[in-house]
Amino acid sequence: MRAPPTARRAAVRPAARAALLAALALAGGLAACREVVVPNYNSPNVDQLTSAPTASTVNTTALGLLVGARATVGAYATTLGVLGREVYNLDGAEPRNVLGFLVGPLEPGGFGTDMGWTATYRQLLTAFTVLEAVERVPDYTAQQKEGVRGFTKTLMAMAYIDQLRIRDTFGIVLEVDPSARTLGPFVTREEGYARAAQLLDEARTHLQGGGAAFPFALHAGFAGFATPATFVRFNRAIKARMEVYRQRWPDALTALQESFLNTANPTPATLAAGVYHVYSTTSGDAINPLFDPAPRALTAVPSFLTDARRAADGSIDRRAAAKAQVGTVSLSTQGVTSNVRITAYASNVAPVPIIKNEELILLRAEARLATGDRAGAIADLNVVRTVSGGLPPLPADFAGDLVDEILYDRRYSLFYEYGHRWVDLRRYGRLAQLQKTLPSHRIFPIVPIPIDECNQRDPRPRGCVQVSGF
Amino acid sequence: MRDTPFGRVPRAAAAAAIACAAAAPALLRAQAAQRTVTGQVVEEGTNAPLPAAQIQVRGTTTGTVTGDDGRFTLRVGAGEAVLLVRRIGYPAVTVRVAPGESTVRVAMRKDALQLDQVVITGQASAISRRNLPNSVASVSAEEVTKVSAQTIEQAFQGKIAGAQIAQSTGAPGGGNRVRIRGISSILGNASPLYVVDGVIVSDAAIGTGTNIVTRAAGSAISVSNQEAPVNRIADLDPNQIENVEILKGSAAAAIYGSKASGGVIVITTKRGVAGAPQWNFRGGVGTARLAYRNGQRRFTTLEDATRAFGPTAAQFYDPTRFIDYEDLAYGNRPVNNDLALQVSGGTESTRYFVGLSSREEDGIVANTFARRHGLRVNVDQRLTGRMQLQVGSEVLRTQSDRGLFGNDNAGNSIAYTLTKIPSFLDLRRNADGSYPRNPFYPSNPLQTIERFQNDEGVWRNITTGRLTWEIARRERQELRFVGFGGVDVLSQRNEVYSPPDLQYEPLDGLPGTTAVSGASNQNANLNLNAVHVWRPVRAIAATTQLGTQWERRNFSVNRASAQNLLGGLEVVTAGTIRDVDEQRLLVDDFGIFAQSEVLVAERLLLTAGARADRSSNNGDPGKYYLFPKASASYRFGTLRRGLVDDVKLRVAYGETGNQPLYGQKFTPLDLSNIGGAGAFRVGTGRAASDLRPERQREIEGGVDLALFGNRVTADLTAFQRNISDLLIIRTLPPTSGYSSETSNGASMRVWGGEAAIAAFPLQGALTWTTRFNLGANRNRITELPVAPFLLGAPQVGAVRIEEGRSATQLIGNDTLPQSGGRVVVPVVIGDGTPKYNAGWGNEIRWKGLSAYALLDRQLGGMLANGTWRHYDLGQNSRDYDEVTATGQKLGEVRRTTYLQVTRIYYQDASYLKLREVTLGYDLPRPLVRRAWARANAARLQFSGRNLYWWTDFRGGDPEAENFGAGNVPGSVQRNRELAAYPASRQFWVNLNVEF
Repeated sequence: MRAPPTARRAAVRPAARAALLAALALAGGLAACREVVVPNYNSPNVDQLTSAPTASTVNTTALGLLVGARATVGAYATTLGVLGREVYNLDGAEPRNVLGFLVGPLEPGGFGTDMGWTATYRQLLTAFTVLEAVERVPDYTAQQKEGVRGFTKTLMAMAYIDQLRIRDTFGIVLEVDPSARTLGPFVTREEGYARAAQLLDEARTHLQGGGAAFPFALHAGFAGFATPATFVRFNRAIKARMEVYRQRWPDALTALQESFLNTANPTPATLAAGVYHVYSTTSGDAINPLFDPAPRALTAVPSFLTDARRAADGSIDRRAAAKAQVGTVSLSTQGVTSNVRITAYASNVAPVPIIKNEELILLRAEARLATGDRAGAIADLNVVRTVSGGLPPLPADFAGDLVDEILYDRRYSLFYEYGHRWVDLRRYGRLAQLQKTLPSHRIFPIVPIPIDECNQRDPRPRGCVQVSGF
Repeated sequence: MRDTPFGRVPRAAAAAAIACAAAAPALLRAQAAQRTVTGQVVEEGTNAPLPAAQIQVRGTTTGTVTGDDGRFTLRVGAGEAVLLVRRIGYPAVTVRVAPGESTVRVAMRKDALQLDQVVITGQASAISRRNLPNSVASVSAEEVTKVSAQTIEQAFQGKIAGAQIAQSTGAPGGGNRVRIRGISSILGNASPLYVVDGVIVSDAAIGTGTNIVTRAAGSAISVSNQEAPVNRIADLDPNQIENVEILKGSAAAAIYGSKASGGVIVITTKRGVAGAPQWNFRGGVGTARLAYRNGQRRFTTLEDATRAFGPTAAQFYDPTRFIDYEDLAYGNRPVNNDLALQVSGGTESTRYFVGLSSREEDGIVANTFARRHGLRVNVDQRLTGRMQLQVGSEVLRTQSDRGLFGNDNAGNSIAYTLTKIPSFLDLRRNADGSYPRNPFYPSNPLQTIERFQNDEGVWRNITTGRLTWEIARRERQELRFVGFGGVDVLSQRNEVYSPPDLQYEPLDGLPGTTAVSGASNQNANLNLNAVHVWRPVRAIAATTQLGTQWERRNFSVNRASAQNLLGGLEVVTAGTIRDVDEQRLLVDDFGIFAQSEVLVAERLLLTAGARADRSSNNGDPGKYYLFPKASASYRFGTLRRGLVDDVKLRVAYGETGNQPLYGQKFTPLDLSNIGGAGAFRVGTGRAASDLRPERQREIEGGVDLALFGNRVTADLTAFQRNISDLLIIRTLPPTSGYSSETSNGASMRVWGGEAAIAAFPLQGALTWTTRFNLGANRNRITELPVAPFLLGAPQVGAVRIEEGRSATQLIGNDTLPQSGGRVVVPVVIGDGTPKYNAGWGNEIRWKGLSAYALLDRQLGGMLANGTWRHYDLGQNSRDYDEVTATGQKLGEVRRTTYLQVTRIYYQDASYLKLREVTLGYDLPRPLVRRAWARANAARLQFSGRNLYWWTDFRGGDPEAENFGAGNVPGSVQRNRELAAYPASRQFWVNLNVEF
């Protein structure tokens, strides 16, 4: 046991106390002065783009627009494909793909109503940010700036068109205010298309002044369209599709002329020429979301095979045979069954068309028919159905409903790419032709505005309603 | 009531106080002729000798410790000597030894009600519970280890007034949610802060990487809130714990500043007691059984079967076959063990504690398990007469495999798949070891159970140190320095391996998936404090302290996954498709703390203090935020002896904060690549630039009573908490370009009350201890500067944040009649906050026999029953064929209407559970000695956890929760169960030997 300390030793030693307090104050003071600024380790911040953008940052962000455009492929091809009875999503783990999209009703807060809405406006914000940043990049040439503007505005127009197809007469929003303090107003479908057309035309002008090359390298899906001069032809193809949607037929024909439409020496390869979303299995890249080999969830609607026409030798439309086949797996969810496997995409890195020559030819057929050129329309259809479908050509004096023929070819040529069938049938008021598998099923002509948009707007946009279908 | 000497601390573990007590006698010295006093310390009532009691002669540093027989010998002065006798678990006693006496007998009354416990009130100060101005719950070592528990939080269930503790999953290894005094944040951190011997320890929940297989949320390798990860407090070993204090409100927790909004759980580990080595061995063997069942549909006709499972069902249908898949999947009968060996001893100047433990638990699902092995060494060393050093270090190894459970979009989660298998289908293993293919769903769960691997291994070290230096001591003043700190280093590795031969693996054309994750976390902190005690007059003591606290947390996780495994190898390089991911986090915080406590005549305690904090997580990392506190308590003392023995009124006010989470202050650009080129995109969320901590202002008041000769204590508390600057990640209109925005802005009020009553109705040969606690709280959003917003989707249940309403109100779709048809509208369907939580424990002892039971009750709260919904969606639920009044099948009605009527699957989450039961027998001492001469005592015990429950919640555990556990905020959004690992009942036999 230790001897008790003496009272003297126990007395306060001022020096010791002072030393201690000084040490404490010093330690505290030092630590306190040294404020620690911790950066964002996990990603760059947006102020790199908004404060002092460099060419490199803007180039990388421009390519981000291609990632953004690709992000909605699954929603457009599959969800619109389900609404247009091209495909079923029979995912047993998510029965709402059947209950939500085949039975409904579609509600603003319901399953999957977003359908690319959020991604589209994120894409538009990125695009607006790029357009602002371009002005302040010191190391771009004037031509490079024009190239970036033309590229960006083309992708912006595509984003508007994407949503106009889905929301149709409910309309969309054009302005994106990153501060979210003022929300852009809803505009009508017609105003939306007008803005998209304006952007595409502005983009063309920019691209024409864009020099020999973009300051960034476009991926392989743009092979043949990777310079400002050739990208214009892609821009015109998008314009043509849009003009057909809004039935401005002469404008559509003009745009098609400037596009990459090509009917010379048609082969399946020339018809497939166009612009594609590309995929890879590289870490950080994406794989094709439409590829489901087993299948586990995604199947074709069986009528895709049974409705297909036959060639003279009795063989089925080559397009149908190539894109779907009866498989060994039969999926069944919520009373819906299909054993038809989708074979449109051969692998998980197969590219998905954005727009291809085959569609341009069909667009021209549609525009020609609408402008009274019936023979021209039949000639265009025959290119597609003989080369791509292996079917006999329509006779030159075909007297039947050419719209039916166009819709047939569009269904088989553009199967499971962009939800074409649902949009096409609606354009012609023929959605009622879609077959319902069960009596409880409904056809929905339009998709409401998502709840997150509705909740924060007063008055609520008119698209914030339940769509019960028919 | 015994005299408790002023300033003395009757608990050996409070080191600062020991130093104080040891040095105190220096002031009053009277060394003269010596005499010898011998004596014995016994327990009052039982007269059992009490070893390891510390005896000190007041006014000197002379002291000793009693031996095994409770006896001691001391040299004292010739005059009257005053002995101060202290022992853990017993209020201190002073005994006067008259000049002529040479023997003394000291009887100590067991402090079953913990009246004299010391509770921390500052970074470096503590005070007797008798004077405490706040409600602080304590859980002793004995209570923590009553029934073997997977984790310490599990051991707390039902024992803490005002804490809601729920087990997110039944999987071995833990995974719990602790919410103290209701919600404190909408989207900030909701968990309490854990502090072990002064060091802030990590409660990180690090995802396992199973999302790459389940695709529950996108295609990332890991999405932790979908993976029911273990929150790492599960690593802590309950056996090494001496005591746990739960600082519930801001008033008590203000000393932890901007990290304390969820309350603070302060854990003190066991420390050595001077004397010969004291050994304690505790060994248990146990097992577990499935606790809840969903049942399955019995298909009586082929038509039913084909309608539910398609035409293929005809090939498999057999009306005579009924296979219970819950039996097959959840019928494993584990043999578990829980072992602990501890030794403590030392001299007056060096004391040690060493604890070794092992717990190995298998799940009710084959091939799932959790193991924990740990070693703790605590050493206390007196460096000089005035300086004491305490160090402790614990090394822990935790391993688990928790199978494949929870939400899933690939058709392979085990519990999820079970909902989709018809009872007529036989998926049992073939004689050749292969498994039949499930024709109706992508996986065979029995094959998944056998082949899927989800290995997790954690190494962890928690090292703490504490230096107490008695700088100066005078008659009226003392000054001491208390420095403490340490590190918590954690390294976790996860290996998910889904072999190519599993049925679901080839579905994407890429058979075989593997994901390897390595995570590391370091918490380091250092506290430096100066404590000054001033006694201007005998009845007044003022304790003032000034301190700093620094903390740094450094976390990173690296993940790699591969698909299409060549040769089926587990290693990532065997895959043709590889993905990598890394996340980092660094937080650096610093706080300055000052506090003054004035105790007047041991009756009135006044406290005022403040803490200023800065954090690198705030928008301005250099800015200090001030969190003040003040409190007062007054003891009226004995009003009527034997009836009202003590009354204390208390009121306390305090402020705490809740930091933004790391990264919330940034508006990021997303990184990706396309066609080999890098790509930036504007991220989905953005942040306000001035993010700051949420601020809670809490006032609590209460009364503490000691009644009927101290046989009953009652603590009644009411609190109200106003939280401002609430962080909200509000949903933005998507046309803003962003989906969400993080900012400060909303305000919320939480109010409630707690009651804790402990009683000792019988004391004698037969003793009966009863403890009851109850806590309830409500909340309301008082200010919301933005439009009301939803968290979640109304179809499956969402929380709507709306001014004037509860922050936990649940919104769901309902179908209402309207002219011309029916319309689907979102309506309020209930509230996620329970009406109350309560626990009631009773223990009866008679001679060597004891019986104990703890009931845990929750009333109210709502939980979406996702597993049941999926049984219905699979047209496979047990009551599917019951016929409704309108002649439809009940399951059919539910299945086809739930998207429009969300409340169908929202159920009341009320329960009453028999949490803990023990039956113990102290083996007779002669018998024990005959078996092993060295043994002092041995005890045999049968125990069980979650043995029985009463609930209307169908099929699963009303505590289960799938989304929101983990490191994703989800404070308010914790009300969805889906395909969780099923809960089990646990049975144990234990033998406890002291030697």
